[in-house]
Amino acid sequence: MSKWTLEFEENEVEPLVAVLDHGAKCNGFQYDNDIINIILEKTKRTIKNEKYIKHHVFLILANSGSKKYDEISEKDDLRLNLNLAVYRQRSLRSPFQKILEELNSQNKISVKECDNLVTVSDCISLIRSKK
Amino acid sequence: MKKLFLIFLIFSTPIFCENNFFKNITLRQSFQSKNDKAEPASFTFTNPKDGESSFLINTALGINLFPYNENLTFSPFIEYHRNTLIDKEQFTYSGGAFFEWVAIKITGKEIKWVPILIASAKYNNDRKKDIESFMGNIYVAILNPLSNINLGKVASLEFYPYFGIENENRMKTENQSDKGNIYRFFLRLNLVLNPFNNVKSMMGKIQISFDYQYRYDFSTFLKDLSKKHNYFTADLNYQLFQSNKLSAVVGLEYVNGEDPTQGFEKQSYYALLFKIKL
Repeated sequence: MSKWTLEFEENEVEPLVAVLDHGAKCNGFQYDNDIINIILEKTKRTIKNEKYIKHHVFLILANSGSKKYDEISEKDDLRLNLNLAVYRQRSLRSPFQKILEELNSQNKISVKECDNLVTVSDCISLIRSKK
Repeated sequence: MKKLFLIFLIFSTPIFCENNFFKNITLRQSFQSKNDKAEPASFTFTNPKDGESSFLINTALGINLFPYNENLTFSPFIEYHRNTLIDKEQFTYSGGAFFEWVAIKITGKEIKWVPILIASAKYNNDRKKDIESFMGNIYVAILNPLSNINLGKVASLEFYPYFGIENENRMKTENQSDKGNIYRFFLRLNLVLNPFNNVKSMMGKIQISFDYQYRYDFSTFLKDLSKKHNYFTADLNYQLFQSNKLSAVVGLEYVNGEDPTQGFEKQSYYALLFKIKL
C-alpha cells in the first residue's frame, strides 16, 4: 500500500474545494460516507474557522488600535503600526480568549503570550495554535 | 544565594503544576519597571591585552503567578547585578516579590489615562559594601496620551512618568551606627524614541531611550551623605533578533549617577552591551 500526501498552500485550499464540489455535482458522484466527503467537510470547517479568527482579530485590533478594519494588514506591527504599546497589547487577552471559547477550545491564552506578540499575523497564529 | 533560589522555587511551585513554568518566566534587567517597559538583561565582557578582564551583568529572573490575568502581576524574583568595568566595583544580589496592578481595565481605545500601581519588597545583599537590607517600594506609573504617539510616519515616541516612595532598612552593616531606616521620594521619567518607522527593513530595529531617576532621602539616619540621588541612562539599541519568546539586542549605553536601591555608587561610563529579554 502506498501513502500519498498532498500539501496545499492556504490560498489554494478554497479553490480546490470549489473544484471538487463542482466536479461532484457535474458528474453526479455520491460522496456520502466517503473519505472525500470527510476531507471536504473538514477543509470547509477549517476555512470557516480561519476566516472567523482573522475577521475577529481584525475587529478587535480595529477597536483597540489606530487603524480601521479595512486598513489593517497581517504584516502590521502591533506597536509601530497600530499604536498598541503600553498595556493595550496585554488587554487583547480577554477578547482573544473569547474567540477561543467561540471555537469551543478549552485552551487558555496567557498575558505573556500577548506581551510577546509583534505583528497582526502573530495574533492570528496564536489563536490558531490554541483552537 | 542558595536561600534566594529556594524561596524562588517555593513561590513558583503552583506554576510547575500547570506545566507552564518556562512560558511564564521573565528574564530582564530588574523588577523596578512596570512589565511592558522592562529593560532586557544586559551583559558585557572586556579582556584587554594588557590588564585584567572586566565584565558587567545586570539580570533578574521572575515568574508570574497570575499568567491569565492582564491587570494583575505577582512575581517572585531574584536579581544579580555585578559591574567590574568601573573603579568602584559593584556586586549586589537580591530576591523578593513584585506586584503590579492596572487600576482601570483597558478596553477599546477610549481610555487614555490609567494609573498603574507597582510595588516590590526584596532582601538585598551588597557584597562590596557588606550591607544587608530589606527594601520596599510603591510606585505609580501613569499611562497617558503621550505614552505612545506617532511623529508622522517616521517615528514614534513613548513617554512614561513614575513617582513613589522607597524604603531601605539596613539590617546588617560593618558599623553598628550604619543600621537603620531610609525613606526616599522617587521620580522617574522614561522616554523612548522609535525612529525609521517608514523604512520597512529598519522598522522596530533601532530604539533610543532616555531614563532619568531622581531620589530624595526625606527621612534618613545618614546625616553626612547627600540626600539627593540622580541617575541617568541613555541607550542606543539595535535589535538582532526578535521572536514571540525571545528578543536579543546589542546596545550602546551611557550611565551617569547613582541608584542606591541597587547599591550603585556614583558612576559614569559607556558600555557596549549584549541584551536578552525572555
